[in-house]
Amino acid sequence: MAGRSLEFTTDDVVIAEDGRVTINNSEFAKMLVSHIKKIAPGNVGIFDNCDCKGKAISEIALGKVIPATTFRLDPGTVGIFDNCDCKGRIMQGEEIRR
Amino acid sequence: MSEKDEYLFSILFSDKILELTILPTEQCNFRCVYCYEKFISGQMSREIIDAIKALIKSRTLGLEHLRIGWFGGEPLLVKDIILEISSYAMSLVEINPRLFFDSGMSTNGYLLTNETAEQLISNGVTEFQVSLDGPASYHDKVRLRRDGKGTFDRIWRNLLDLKYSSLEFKINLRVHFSKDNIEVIDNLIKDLKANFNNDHRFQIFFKSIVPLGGKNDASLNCFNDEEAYRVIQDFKSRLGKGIYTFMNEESPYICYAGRPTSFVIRHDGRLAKCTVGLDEPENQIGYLRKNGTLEIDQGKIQPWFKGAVSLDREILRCPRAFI
Repeated sequence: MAGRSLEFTTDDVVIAEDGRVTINNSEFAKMLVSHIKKIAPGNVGIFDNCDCKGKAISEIALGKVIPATTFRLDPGTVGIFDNCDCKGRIMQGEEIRR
Repeated sequence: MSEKDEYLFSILFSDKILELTILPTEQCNFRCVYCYEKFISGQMSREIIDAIKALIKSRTLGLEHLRIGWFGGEPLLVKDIILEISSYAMSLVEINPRLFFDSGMSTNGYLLTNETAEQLISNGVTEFQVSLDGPASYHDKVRLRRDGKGTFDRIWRNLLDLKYSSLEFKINLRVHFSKDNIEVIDNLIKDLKANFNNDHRFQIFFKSIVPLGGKNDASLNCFNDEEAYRVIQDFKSRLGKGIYTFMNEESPYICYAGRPTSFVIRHDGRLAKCTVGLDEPENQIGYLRKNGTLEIDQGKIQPWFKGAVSLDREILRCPRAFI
């Protein structure tokens, strides 16, 4: 992957018996955690650090937002951030890096 | 690392997300001509049902998103199993208010009456994918009941009944096309526009038929990827803007099979990563133990993570193609 300096392979990914993912590559895991925290400080999750989290979740509950199985990644296209006022910010990361 | 990659990693490796695709039965009341499944008899046993409940219970406190997708066979043949597990999953939200549970189903729509839909929706199953292959004249030649009879009229009646209900749900109408039905799809599009225009609960997407290992694969008259893309653009333009299409073919898609936090649970407790090629050796990644823990063959499951570790969009779109 462009811009990624540490080696990360499928052998590093181990699934525990409760289904959790274990990354057996401490250097990469540390880097991953630090980067994920930038997106979701405190708690990693789809809507964490999203100002309109409540609204977005309620939109999913109403079936108006496509859930994780079909999510799209591009801001502005159909995706989990549809009907979410800050969808652009989440993807562009301007506000969340404070 | 780009922001988009950071976001991808946060989704792919988060232990706050668990996605289960459950096949409560692999038997089906249909015999679609292009189907790749083997229609194994039997439904999920009490032992496996309890094991699934134990698995999700064990993860309750740490999870923020539990997604259960129902697949088959035809899942509505065993509605009670779906209701039991879904009801249990909903009850876990009371234990962990941060947990968001959502659930959907791939169903042929034949048994999706208003009464059944209401039961499912009240237990958190709110999204349904129903396939149509054209107007009745064509659909009934390829999406047949097990006894060979047609299915369109009943599916269509169910869809209309749901439309006239006050229920809140989402139905993704998956319209199949190939070179064999391309000429009649326009008739279906007209019917869809006439009946489901401006109803946010109904969305439509077009899917090219492709060989997936069924016994009739050799006789399928398929478009190649480039042709199919052009056909879809044409169909979408004919649909117009009053009807909702949720698939944006130009944006990246991440298949559940490539997500490390996603598992397929078959009716007998075997675990897989992909609902296609269920019996392929590389898809036999383990099994669900009676106590709800997963016995995973790490060597078998790791190749499915090629996309997750490389973030290669092509692999993420269909990891099975790169195993």
